[in-house]
Amino acid sequence: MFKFDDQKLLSAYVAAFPGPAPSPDKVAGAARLMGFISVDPDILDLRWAAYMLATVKHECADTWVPISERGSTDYFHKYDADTPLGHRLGNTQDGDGFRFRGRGYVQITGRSNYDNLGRLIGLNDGLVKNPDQALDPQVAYKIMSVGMRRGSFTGKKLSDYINQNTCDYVNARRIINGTDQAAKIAGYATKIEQVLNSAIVK
Amino acid sequence: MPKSLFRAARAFWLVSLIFAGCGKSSRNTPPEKASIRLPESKEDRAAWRNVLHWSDDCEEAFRGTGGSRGGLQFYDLDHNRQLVEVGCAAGAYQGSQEYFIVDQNPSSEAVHAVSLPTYEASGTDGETLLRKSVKEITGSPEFDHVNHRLKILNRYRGPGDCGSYAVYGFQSEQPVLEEFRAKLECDGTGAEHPEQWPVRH
Repeated sequence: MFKFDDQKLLSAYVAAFPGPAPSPDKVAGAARLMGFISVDPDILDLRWAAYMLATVKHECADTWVPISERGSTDYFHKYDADTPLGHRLGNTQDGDGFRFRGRGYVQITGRSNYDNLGRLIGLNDGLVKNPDQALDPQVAYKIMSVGMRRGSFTGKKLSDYINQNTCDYVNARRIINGTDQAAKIAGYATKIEQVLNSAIVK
Repeated sequence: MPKSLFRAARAFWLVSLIFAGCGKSSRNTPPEKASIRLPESKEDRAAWRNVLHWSDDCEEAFRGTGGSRGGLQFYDLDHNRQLVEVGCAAGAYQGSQEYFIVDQNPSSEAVHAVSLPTYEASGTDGETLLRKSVKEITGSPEFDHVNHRLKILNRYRGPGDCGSYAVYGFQSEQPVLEEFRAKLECDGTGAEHPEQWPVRH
């Protein structure tokens, strides 16, 4: 578990990622996320924390809060139960395409993902019954943490790429998705690792 | 591929037709194939793996990410050929898959593993397209049953405001990349209309 100096964190982040000053909402969202990471007993490597934060920066479009997949209700018909894509996502009922649209820090999508991840974080079928819970920051964090540590999204996990022998932030992208924009996200992780190191309280 | 294995595959296909009454149809399934039963079980998947031999990586990803059904889809390319889509990882918001062409033409019975030409968004800004060819491709596939084209939307991130949209034709043994569109800037717009993203190929 980690302890950080919040003021140092913010100033180091702003220095690492120059641009408009982050809004209070973004600062609050990032602080909340840092709080989850700091007390997560399964995150003991600062580089894992850096890569998780880089993932959120990319996936949530710099908002630092769990977000929902964009699109109208009609847009989500392509995921409905009677389509090949919906079948693949484990959608089985009318309306599942919209019901199980992407949500959270890593936008889990489809009935199968909601069911699997919900069980992994101890909600049993609670996430299927109330998928909006995936937008709750604490639930969204647990989904991301367990999924990235155990390889529940793609079969690849944090320890495959970031361990005692190596730190491959580029290929770590495979934990979530393919390797498109992997170098860009790796760049975020490298900077965020420096930010975390500068603000950690030892 | 040995003819005996191919015949086993075709026999499996025919068994699927025989048991068609157990199946369910799909919105995108053409009427003449509407009653074909999709492989629904792990046993079906194992039988097809003995024929198609998809990669260990794909199979491990399927098993490790909650794949509980067969994870296979079949699409008609023409009278004698089917495109088989083998689901690999579920992914957080989009999966990955491998493809095979099963040719049932008596003069050229064969199974072809498919390599898909594509472009990867690379570089530190994520905006340099790098040509490559892959066996396992990430993205959400959709098959156009009228024009017999495979379309793959590959989101670079969950919101879908950046990514690529590829269209493949299957006139020969290997697929041809007929159209490749990519929106490289992740700027919060354009998620609903990837078919309007800038043409890159």
